[in-house]
Amino acid sequence: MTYDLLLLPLIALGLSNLRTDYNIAWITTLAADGGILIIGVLILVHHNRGPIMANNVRLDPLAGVLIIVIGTVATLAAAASQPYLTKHLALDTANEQKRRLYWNLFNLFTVTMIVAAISNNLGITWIAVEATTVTTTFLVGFKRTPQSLEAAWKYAIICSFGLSIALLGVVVIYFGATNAGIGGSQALMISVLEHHARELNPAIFRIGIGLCIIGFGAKAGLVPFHTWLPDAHSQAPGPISAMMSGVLLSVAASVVLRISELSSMIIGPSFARLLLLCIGILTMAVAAFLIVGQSELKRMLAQSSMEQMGLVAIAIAINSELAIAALLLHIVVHGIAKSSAFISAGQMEEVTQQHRISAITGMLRTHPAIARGFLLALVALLAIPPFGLFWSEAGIITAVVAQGYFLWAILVVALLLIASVGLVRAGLALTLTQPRTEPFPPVHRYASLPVAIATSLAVIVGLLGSPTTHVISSVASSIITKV
Amino acid sequence: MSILIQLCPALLLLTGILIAVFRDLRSQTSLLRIQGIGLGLLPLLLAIEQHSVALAIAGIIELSIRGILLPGLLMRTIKRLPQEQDPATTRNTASSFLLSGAVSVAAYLAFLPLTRVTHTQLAQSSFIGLALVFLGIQVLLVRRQAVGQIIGFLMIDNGIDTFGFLATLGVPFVLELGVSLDLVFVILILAALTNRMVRKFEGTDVDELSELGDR
Repeated sequence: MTYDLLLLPLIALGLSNLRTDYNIAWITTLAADGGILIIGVLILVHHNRGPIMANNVRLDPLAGVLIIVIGTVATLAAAASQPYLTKHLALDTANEQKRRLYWNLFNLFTVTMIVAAISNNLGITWIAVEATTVTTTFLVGFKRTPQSLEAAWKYAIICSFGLSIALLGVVVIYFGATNAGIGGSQALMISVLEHHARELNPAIFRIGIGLCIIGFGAKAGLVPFHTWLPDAHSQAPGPISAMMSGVLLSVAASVVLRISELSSMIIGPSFARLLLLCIGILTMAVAAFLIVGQSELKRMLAQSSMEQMGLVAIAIAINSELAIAALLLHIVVHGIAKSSAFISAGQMEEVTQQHRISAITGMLRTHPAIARGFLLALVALLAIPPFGLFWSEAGIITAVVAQGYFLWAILVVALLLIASVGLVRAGLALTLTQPRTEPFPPVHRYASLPVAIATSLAVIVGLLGSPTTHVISSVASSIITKV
Repeated sequence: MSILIQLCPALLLLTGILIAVFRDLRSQTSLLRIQGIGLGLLPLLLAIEQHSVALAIAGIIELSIRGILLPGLLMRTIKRLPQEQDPATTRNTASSFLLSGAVSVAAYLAFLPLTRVTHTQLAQSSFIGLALVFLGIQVLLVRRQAVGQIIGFLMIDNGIDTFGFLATLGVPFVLELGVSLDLVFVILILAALTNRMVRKFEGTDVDELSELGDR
């Protein structure tokens, strides 16, 4: 199953380099990502038999959930990429070369995220997370404008800096493990470290784990290395923003989750909890106030992702069964809703050639299909029932209260409300206002299809009720006890 | 042999402090090359002392990537740049020395719990790797030119590697190789972006990159 997971996007990558008149790159990428989604479902279905462990690989329920999100969002993004590339590269003389580069990097990006999600070795996890930076920097700078160059530079330098801190953490953890007599490559395996948790020196691991949480947090868009996120997400092509916001952040957050579980076993729960509560609430606060004053559409969505990651960090900090269950649901539904929002926001920007919310007006009259898709995605992001995000946010807040952190819960609710004000205001300004008078170019016939499918999925997950909660809560309990 | 091994960390720290102090990009890159060579020699000398093939292979990888490939790549990028003085490095040399000294002491204090549990003399000097990391962060934050920031980033990575060799006699081979490969790709990408910057802005002052932001 592991090999299938990695082979599928690699085959798509190989085929995307064939010179044919057909859209072979698009079709094979779609098929590969669909296959990844199916494998993710299979991992979850079989999780009751215990996680599949091989040396450096761990196919446990958390990996299953992440693979499902990677498969779903990559399929949506791949579907939306073809219309984007057709439009964006229509007048470009080097279009074939750029198209090939786009699909190669797209598939490599998927591979690196899968490796990060299934790795049981902290070293390999680090290599994979850093490789996501390598594969996506050129995608962030794909438009080749001065702004996209700025975004790509900041993205590469800030993320690599943050990940250097994580690497130092990984080396400190290795030092701590070898100091306790665990030798060679075994010393970085999460399962081995968990097994020897009692023999490890907490003073060393406090430094290593603290550095890892802050470093990997950079890739999840958490404070203090969050500044790359709005720039990169606003300048990348819509489908790539969807992938970065929908899954990349969640994959990085899952690494933080695994490290915090390790921390609970070695140092006790309070260290990672306090660190992550502070990082989470600070991230939410920074994001909420930026959203309210935001004038650019994709920056606003990126800051909303930052806020949601802050919430995820708080759920990881609480680390009760309810918190983890809600977190898993949150990762799935937020991935779907945010990728839809980014895809339709990208389409709005493409047709109007504008980035500012005040300049993109009256979309409901000029492009009703795109506007409806965006509004649906926005409603999902506002956590209004029956969308799944309502249940996940309610679950996290309930878990925070249940652990006795009333003040933190009030803060979380207040910050979510502040951000909602900004999102609602932008949604209304974009869609229900008077349209501009100049004519707009037509959009691709099926351009809004991925968004329609994705938002329906977000509703279905929310409406399913007991089947969803049953799967999610059993997965959560297995993570709490086995990770 | 052990004298040579003890000299290596000292050489690394010295080059680190000088990189933080020097203003000219070419001198900084030359110092980075010496640092890379020193970092390659350290595992090679350890390999001879301990008769370890793994350390010898790690040393060859380090020497070829950090001592030859990456500084060479940076030098090529610098040759294409228009002549410019980094505006942020014009403060006086004495204060740079003082700041670098303070940074090294801070590194020693911050990682005291680590050095306290080590027994070998080599591991005791592992804080030098951490001092290099802190000095690299200082360079990365202070420099306003693209290549200056890349040098800072490389120094952080050299520092982590030095810590790895001094404290643990080298991280596992998979990590060593993966980190080196990732590093090469990141530097290639940053160099490519620097070239694009020269074409678009006719300079590499990162303060020019200020169109995006929350205003």
